[in-house]
This record gives sequence, C-alpha cells and structure tokens, in this order.
Amino acid sequence: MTYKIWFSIVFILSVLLLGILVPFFGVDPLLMDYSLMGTPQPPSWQHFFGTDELGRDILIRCIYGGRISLLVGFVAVSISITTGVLVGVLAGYIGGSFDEILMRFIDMLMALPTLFLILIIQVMLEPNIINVMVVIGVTSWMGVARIVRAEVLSLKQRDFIVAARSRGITEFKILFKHLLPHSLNPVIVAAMLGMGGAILTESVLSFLGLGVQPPHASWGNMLENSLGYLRDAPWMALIPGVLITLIVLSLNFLGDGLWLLLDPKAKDNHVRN
Amino acid sequence: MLIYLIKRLIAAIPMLLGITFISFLIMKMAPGDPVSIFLNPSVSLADIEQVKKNLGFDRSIFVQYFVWLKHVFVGDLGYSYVTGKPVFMSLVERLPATLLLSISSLIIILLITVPLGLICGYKRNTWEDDVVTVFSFLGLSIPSFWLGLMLILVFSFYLDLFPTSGFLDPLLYDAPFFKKFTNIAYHMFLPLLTIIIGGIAGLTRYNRFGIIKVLAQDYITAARARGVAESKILFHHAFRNILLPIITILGLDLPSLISGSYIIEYIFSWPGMGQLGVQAVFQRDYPILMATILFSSILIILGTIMADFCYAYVDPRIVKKSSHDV
Amino acid sequence: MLEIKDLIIDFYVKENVVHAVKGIDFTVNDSQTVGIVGESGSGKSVTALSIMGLLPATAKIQGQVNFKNTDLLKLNNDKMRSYRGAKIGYIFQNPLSALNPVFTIANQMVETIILHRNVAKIEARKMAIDLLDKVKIIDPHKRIDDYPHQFSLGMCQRIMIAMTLSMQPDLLIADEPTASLDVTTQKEILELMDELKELYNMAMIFISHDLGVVAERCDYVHVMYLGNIVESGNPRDLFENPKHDYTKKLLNAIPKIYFK
Repeated sequence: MTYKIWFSIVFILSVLLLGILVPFFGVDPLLMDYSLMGTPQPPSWQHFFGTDELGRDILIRCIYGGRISLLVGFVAVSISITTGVLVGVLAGYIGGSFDEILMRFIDMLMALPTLFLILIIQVMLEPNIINVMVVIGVTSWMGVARIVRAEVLSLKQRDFIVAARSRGITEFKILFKHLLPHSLNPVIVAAMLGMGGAILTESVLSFLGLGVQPPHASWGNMLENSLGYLRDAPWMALIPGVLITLIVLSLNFLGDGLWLLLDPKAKDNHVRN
Repeated sequence: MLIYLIKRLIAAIPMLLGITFISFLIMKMAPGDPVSIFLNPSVSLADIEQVKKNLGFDRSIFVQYFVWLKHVFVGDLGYSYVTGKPVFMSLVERLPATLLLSISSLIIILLITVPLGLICGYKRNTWEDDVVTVFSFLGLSIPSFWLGLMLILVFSFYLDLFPTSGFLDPLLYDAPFFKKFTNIAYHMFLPLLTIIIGGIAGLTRYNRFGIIKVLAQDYITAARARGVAESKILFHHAFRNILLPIITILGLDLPSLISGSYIIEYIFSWPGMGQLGVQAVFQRDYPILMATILFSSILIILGTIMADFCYAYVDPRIVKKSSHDV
Repeated sequence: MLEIKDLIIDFYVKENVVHAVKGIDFTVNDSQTVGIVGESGSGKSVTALSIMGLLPATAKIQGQVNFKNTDLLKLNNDKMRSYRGAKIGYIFQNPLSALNPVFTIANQMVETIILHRNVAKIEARKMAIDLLDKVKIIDPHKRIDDYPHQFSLGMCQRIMIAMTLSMQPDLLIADEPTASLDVTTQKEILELMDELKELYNMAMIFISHDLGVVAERCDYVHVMYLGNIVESGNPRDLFENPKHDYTKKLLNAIPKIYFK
C-alpha cells in the first residue's frame, strides 16, 4: 500500500508546487510561436511535451491546467462537503419526518443523470470557471449527506452523547462539539474521492467547451483542442489525458489509504477467538 | 412477491413526480421564450399575450406543471427548436441504440467483474490481488471520453481494425438480419469497450470488499466444517450472498452509468439518446434536453425498481426492506 | 482418538504477533466427553478451529493434532476436507449465522448429505426430514423448505445439530453451543445433545465458559486461561479442590445450585 501513497503524495505535491511557482518562472502559457503555427511539434528537448496548433508550449500549459484542476476540485469539494455535512447532521440529528422528507429528496436528486444536468445548467449559465466549481459542488453533496446522516444516527444512540446530555450540555454544543467531529472520518475520505470526481467532471465540461474557456488552459479544454489533430499530433491528446488520470488516481489512492487508516471496520485481517 | 413489486412501483410515483417537477422548473428557468420563437415578428404583442394565455403561461407554476404533465402522459413533449420534429418521436427513435449499448455493456461488465471480484477477495493481499487492485484504480481514474479517444487512436487510426463512429452502414439497411447484426456489433465494439473498462474497474473493487466480508461469515466457516469443497463454497455459498451488495451498488450506480455513457455516445457518434442530448446542449434545444432528462430519469427509476426486485428475489429475508436501506 | 501435543497458535496481524494458544496438551478417548472451560479470549475456540484446520491464513500453528494416528496439521487442505464433517463435526456458537441465509434448510442439508453419504437427492431429502424429526422440529416435511431466518435461534441450533449428525462424525466439537440461547432453550438443546450423544456413541469436546454446564456432562475438564491449560481433572475433583486461582474465580461465578 505504501508505494501507492508515496506516489500519490509526490505527484499531487509536484502539480501543486509547480502550479504555485509557475508565475515566477517567467514563462507565458499564451506565448505563441508563429513559425510553428498550424503544425504542432512533437516532444523535443526544447519543448518537453511538444507544442500545440498555435505553437504554444504544452508543458507550460499543462502546469497551468494543473492549477485549474486542483482549484476546481478543491473549491467544488469544499462546497459539496459543507452542504452535505450540514444537511446530513441536521437530518440525522432532528430525525423524524424532517429526516424522511430530506432523504426522499436526496433519493430523487440521486436518480437524476447528474453529469447531463450539469451540462444543461452550464449552457444556461455563462460557462466560466466560477460556475463550473459551483455547479459541480451543488450537484455532488448528496452522497456526503447520506454518509454523515448514517454516522450521526449511530452516534446519537451512543452512551457518551446521552451522558453529555445528562450533564446538561446544550443541544447546540452536543451537535457541533460531540456529534460532528466524530462523524468526520468518512467525510475526509469522501472529500478525497469527491475531489477526483470533481476533476473528472471539470475535464468533461471543458472538453465539451462548457467549462474553462480558452485562452485559459485546462487539461479538459486542451483535449478539446487536440480533437482536430488526433491523427497527426497524438501527443496533444495523450499528455493532458495521462495527467488527468494520474491526478485522479493519486486522489483515489489517498482516499483509499486514509479509509484503511481511519476506519477500523475496513481492516481485512481480524483475529477470531 | 407480486405485492412487493406493486408496492415498489407505487412508491416510485412520488419520486417520478418530483423528478419531472425539477426538470420542469429547470425548463422554466431556461432563457428564450418558447412562444416568441415560433411567432413571426409581424404579430402584435397583444396576440402574443393571447397565445401565452391559451398555452396557460399566465397561470401558477403548479398549474402549468400539471398541464405539462398531462401532455407528457399522452406523449406530447413539444417540438424540437432545431428540427421542428416532435420531441417524443425523436427520442423514441433513439431509445433502441441507447438500450442496446447500455444493456450489453451492463451484462459484459457483470460477467467479467463478478468472477474477478470473487477471485480477488478470495486471494486478497496476494500479488494477483494487488495487480487487479492497481488496474481497477486506474480504470476508475481514467476520464472515459479520453479513453474513447485513445481507443479510436489505436484501434481505428493505427490498427485500422474498427470504425471511429456510426451504427450501421447505410448500404446494409435492407440486408438480412444476421448481416445487420454483425455490422452493428462491429460498430459497437469501441464504445462498448470504453464503457466496460470504466465499469469493470469500479465494480471489481466493490465486489472484492463484498466477498471479503462474506467469506468472514460464520456460514462459510460452517460450510467448510462440513467438508464442502472450496470451489463450491466460493461459487455457490458465497456467490449468492455477494450478489446482494452487487445489486445494491448497480442500482445506485445507474445514474452515473447512464450519463457517463451519453458522453461516449457523443464521442463515437452512436445514434442514441445521449448523442441527441449532448448535441442539443450545443444547439440550446431545450425541449430535447428536458425530454432527455425525463427519459433518463424514467430509465433510472425503472432500473432501481428492477434492482430492488432482484434483491428481494435473491434474499429471502427482504420482502419489506428496500435496497436503499442496506 | 484425539491427542493434542504441545499446540502453539500465533496470529500475525500486520507487525504484531498475538499468542493465542501457548502450548497445550490433552487427549480425548473414544465416546468420552471432554470439556474446555475458559473466558472469551482464553484460546478455547481457536484450539477447536485448529483441529478442524479452519483458522485464517494469519495463524501459525505448531505442535501435533493426532486424530486416529494421523497428524491433521500435516494434511493438505484437500485431505483435511475429508475429515471435516465426516469424521469431526462442529457445532457453532451462533446457529443463525452458521446457516447460509439465502438457501433453504433443505438445500443446505441435502448438499451435506449427498456430499458425505452416497445417496440420491430424493433419498437425501428423506434422510434430512428424518433427522429434523429426531431433533424435534415439528412438521419437518414442511419446515424443511423454509429459510433460516424463519426459525427461532433454538430451532436453528437443532437444525445445525441435525446437519452435523447427518455426517455421522466420530468426534463432535461443540463450541459454546448454547451461549447465544436463552435459559430454557439452553436446557432443551443440552438435553437433546446428551440424548443424541448416547444414541450415536460419539466422542465430544464441549467448549463453554459455563463451568456448571460442563460439569454436568463431561468426563474430564480442562480449564484454559490466557492460552494455557491451567488446571485439568474430572469435574468432581475440580469442584471440590480447585488449585488454580482462576478456577476458584470461575467456581465463585456459578450459582450455588450446581453444588447440590
């Protein structure tokens, strides 16, 4: 397991660090080489990842795209986690018909073809990066809400909550000091996996021209660009796709690793007595 | 059993109402007034108001919703902004291709993933398990549309083995059934491969956990204690129990499976609902979009009910509980 | 019949080693009932499962388990399988979880009978119904087609006993067979087991944390504590003159009614 975790940490950190430091490198992702316009160049010592149809350096654009991916993933997941935790805690804590109605509502939302819904909302709104983050966030909180609700429901019955209540601790404090922190472990895992999902969704949106708009680089819209050159310049499609796969893979590995670490039920080996 | 099925169907009605209401609201929010689009500029404003009144646009949103619902019931979903054809017919035409692709991918995914998960869970923490685990993570992380592009690159451009797009050669429209069938299968190979690679990855991983959990149960040890052979334990005693979580996860995964396959249809120009829907996104063809959501939601709900039904069939204990509660 | 020599069982979990059984010896003679008493975690169930070769792969077993002059620990899984059920039967603590929830009783019993007795399916079903009748299931020809969850816990244990008897083992290991049952059902099941043990003339290892239950039906008793056998003897001697502190504690925990 450890080699997967190390790979993930190293890869995510390098994308992050390169993304943060790239403005200080004195390179321009929009710089076009007019002599190469129309004929993308394969990877070479001058351009490690080659150039695109406008003669722009793909490596530099990929670094900028990585920034966007991580940003979209992070903001979208923050939105979905906040919403999901709030809804889940309230549903689990209040219970009764409030919980019932909320859960049926979530069932309903989960039966909608989400990706397609996002496409439609993006068409109606103006496709820009802020909208991408918000739309992905508000359409992906339901899973988190369910997990948190289940946790709260099981915690609510436990003795230490009853004991806290019998000591006269206010309901508000019980909710936010005792219930919430104890239900966070699965949320952290869901956040990791959700971030991978958000990055994937962003790439689909940008690929369809409904996400990050040119001339800004994102891995998804670089793939859109590559469509016309698939046969002649396959590296234009290959490199951003590999990067998306690797970053999502890293997040999945991390999520899985954290799950094994945090959830005692996840451990495969158990001794029978 | 029959009563259970009827109960589930009835329980699905409020859900369907809710989903259609959400779809309707989104349609209402859409820019562009459907009335003005069909009228020519010389018509006076008063006339437009009259038409709007006739169409019920001056009434409350709920009334409008029920009027719309009535139309939906008789198969009237309006007309496409782009082609002017009735939306209902355009979608029904596309349904067979979508169903063909999704059902065959589902079957293949199950046929591969169940034994694979079984073996992985059985041989857990060996190198075989590790290899499959890494590959299933990889499959989960690959953007499916990009995988499709790469498959086109390799199988169509470099190897020239399969076509990049399409459904059936126009020359074969009148060909005998078998010839048509093989031609469609030939066109379906790449989109199918794209979908099943992603699908296998997720389910194998899930099945592995399921089988580990089942193998730790007392009834497995008890069967071993009676001298039952390992192969029989795995493929008979454990298999039936592992089906339960698989059915649950399939039911839950259905929405993402369906909307995921829409992008694949678009990439491979597969003439299904998804391709129509994604094109409609670009053309801002709202009636088609709404109908696509409606159709997919119905497909998803039907799928969920079928999953529930299978669950109750496999597990004698569950006749009241729904698979959502597990 | 069964001779256990210097049995050591360690579990390897990640980097940790758990010493579950620390070198124990005991024997079971033909048609003798041997009791093993101890609290949970003392290693008694692990010992029983090691005789069946059913411990998980994380367990490392040393020593000898000689059953009719064959060391079971040296057998491969295939050879071991011919001993499981056919020669050594096993009754579990929780009967409901030991029955596969998705198959009918008929399905599971017929499978077992066909596996061990060379009979056709119809014949096997008849034998199964007879056995259910023997363990006092009412209307066995009807109830045999029910699923485990449709029976009470006590009924499930009767079914497990019937299934184990169908293989006619020489040795029966009962691992806390009544611990999950309520007191009245406990008594019924114990009486049934005594009756059937006489009838089939089996040897038995009876595992329990309840010294009273063990004392009533065992010819010889071993007290296990933290992976060791701390005291052995026939139940009367043990009761009248307990040597080890732990045995004394166990005795104090029993209601006095057993000392009559």
